[in-house]
Amino acid sequence: MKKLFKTYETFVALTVILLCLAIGLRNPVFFTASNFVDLLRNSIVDGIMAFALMLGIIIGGIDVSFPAIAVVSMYLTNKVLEATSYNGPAIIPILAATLIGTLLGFVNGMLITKFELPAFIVTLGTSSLFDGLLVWLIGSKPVNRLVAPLEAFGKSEFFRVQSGDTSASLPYTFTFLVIIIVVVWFILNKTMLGRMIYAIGGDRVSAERAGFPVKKITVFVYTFIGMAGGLAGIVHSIQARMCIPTDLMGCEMIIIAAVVLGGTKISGGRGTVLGTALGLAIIVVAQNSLILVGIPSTWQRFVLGLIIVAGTGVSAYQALRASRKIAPVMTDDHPEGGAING
Amino acid sequence: MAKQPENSLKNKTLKERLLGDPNMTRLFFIMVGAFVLMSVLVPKKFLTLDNFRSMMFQFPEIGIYAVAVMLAMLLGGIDLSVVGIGNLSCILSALLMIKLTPSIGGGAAVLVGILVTLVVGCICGIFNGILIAKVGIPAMLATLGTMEIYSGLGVALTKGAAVFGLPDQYAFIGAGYLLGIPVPLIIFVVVMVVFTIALQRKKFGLELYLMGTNAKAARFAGINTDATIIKTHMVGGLLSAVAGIILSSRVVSAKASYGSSYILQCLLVAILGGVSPFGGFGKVTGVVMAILTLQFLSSGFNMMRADGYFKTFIWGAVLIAAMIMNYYGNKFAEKKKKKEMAASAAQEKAE
Repeated sequence: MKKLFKTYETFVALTVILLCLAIGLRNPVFFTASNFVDLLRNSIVDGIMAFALMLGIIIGGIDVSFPAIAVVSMYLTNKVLEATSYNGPAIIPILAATLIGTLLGFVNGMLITKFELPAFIVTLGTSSLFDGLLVWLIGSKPVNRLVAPLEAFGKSEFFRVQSGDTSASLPYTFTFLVIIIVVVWFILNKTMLGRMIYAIGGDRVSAERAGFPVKKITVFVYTFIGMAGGLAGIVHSIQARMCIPTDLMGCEMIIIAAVVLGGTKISGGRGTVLGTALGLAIIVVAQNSLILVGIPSTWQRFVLGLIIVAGTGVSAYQALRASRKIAPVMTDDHPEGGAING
Repeated sequence: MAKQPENSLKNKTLKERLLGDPNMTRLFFIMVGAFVLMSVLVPKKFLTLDNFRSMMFQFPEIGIYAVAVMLAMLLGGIDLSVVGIGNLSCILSALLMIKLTPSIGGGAAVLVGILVTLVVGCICGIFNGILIAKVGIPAMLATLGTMEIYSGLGVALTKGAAVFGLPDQYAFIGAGYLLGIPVPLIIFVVVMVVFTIALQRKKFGLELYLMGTNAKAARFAGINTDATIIKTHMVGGLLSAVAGIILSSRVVSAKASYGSSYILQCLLVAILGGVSPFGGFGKVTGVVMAILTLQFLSSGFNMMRADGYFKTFIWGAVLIAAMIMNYYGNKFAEKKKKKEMAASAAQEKAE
């Protein structure tokens, strides 16, 4: 099992390298330092969401409501800041948005565990519930200029690189991605909680019989995803230096794709931080660099779809063949049923 | 459901059938409730012939998409690509129809176009099925990916714009009348009747319900599970194409972003209609009542000039509420069953 693990991650890493080489050979701009820093910058928001979502997928669930949570958190926070002409430290609104996300994630978790409902459909429902309620009650007028503290925070950067006539910088917001990665890595590898998340995803019934607090852990995971969603939302608005309430909607597909491409098993029980980082790399590179190799932007959605299908297809096919090889008759586990259970 | 003997079904009257299944009874009252609510709130606009006529043109497309989703859900899967299939197949046929019209005339071009739409729909569905059955990608993920592929292809072919200039005859399907009845409604009724029969009386339905309840048992019962998955998704693709035709001919154009809010509504209709997301349970009757409920609410809200986002919010809320209601409904049914069993056991003991 461990060996399969390793081979899959090597396989993803190879894909990343090949993808980079293919793009770089067509257009040398790809290999400039500023492009890489730009890619890192572009992976902050997606990354915060992806690493948190990975926990949800490992536990055998799914969440499609985090973009809506991100939008609600960032828009509410920015509206309040705008109305009060806030001028305190930047960290307070960031924490406030994170808290809003946490609460909404908790709602998801409670609905899923209390009523034993499929996570996919619940979060699809809460997604339109949160988003609809927000825009219906508050409207969708963009906040064109963030309040001074957030704008200043958005402008502060660790370093800036210059290659040719383009330059790119790594903003302070990158810290949040690092924090999320460390926290997720720590939970999964160093705590009992992490082992239980894997165990629940691997075999829910056994985990229940073993006496794990399955429901509590599930609620925790969805709350965590909500928290990361709130954080990603406010970070997105800080980076964009404005807040448009339709911005992140619809990005859930790409984030799910990043996590799954990284070898996280969609039916649960398997997934690593390194894998997700690699999966994220594929998605971010593909999203930002297709234009460099001359693929017109109208084809981007199609190409992303192909990447999702091809990427998930390879690992799914390997798993299918492996299971049929071991015991061709007894283990006909179509992943069908496991796909959408919470 | 699947194990119900045919005879008992045949001899039941409509009333018995409605009252026999608590889920259906509940749904029936919800539907009537929605109708009464809107009649009370906006009586002057809701209870008019005009309103009923426009409703008859609106719900068939979502209703048919919802049946496609339902078929996938009966297997314990899901199909998120239905709207993508509908749009892609219509865009392809629209481009073809525009090319053909000058040479073979509008009528013939429309016939060819419809045929092409249906074939493309089937192919897309088969592709979904192969990804799920033969490659082993979970249905949710596979159709998520193909949704992007089909919609993406639609965007790429049209550069995101709508395709106009379709032959006039095409509009007949989405906006015409046959013997005074709206054509979309006729198509809807035909689809519902066909699938009620196929699911309740035919081998196709039996296989579907059996696989949804227990895929492994179905395989050992001699059902070719892979073939059934592919077949089901092919039929789903075909239905999506039909729904796509109605939608695109109603607006006499084709576009990759038409019906982008339909996926949520389809799932809502299926769930509200009592289709189990875990597979194995669900009836066409439920879907029909759910789509009518949704249409009554939607038309009513439109008349009250409700915000589009208010509707988004309501759909989300109704979806969650419907699932919670089903949860308590099932719990109640279980309790009742347990009570009955305990009672009969006690009776046996006494005897």
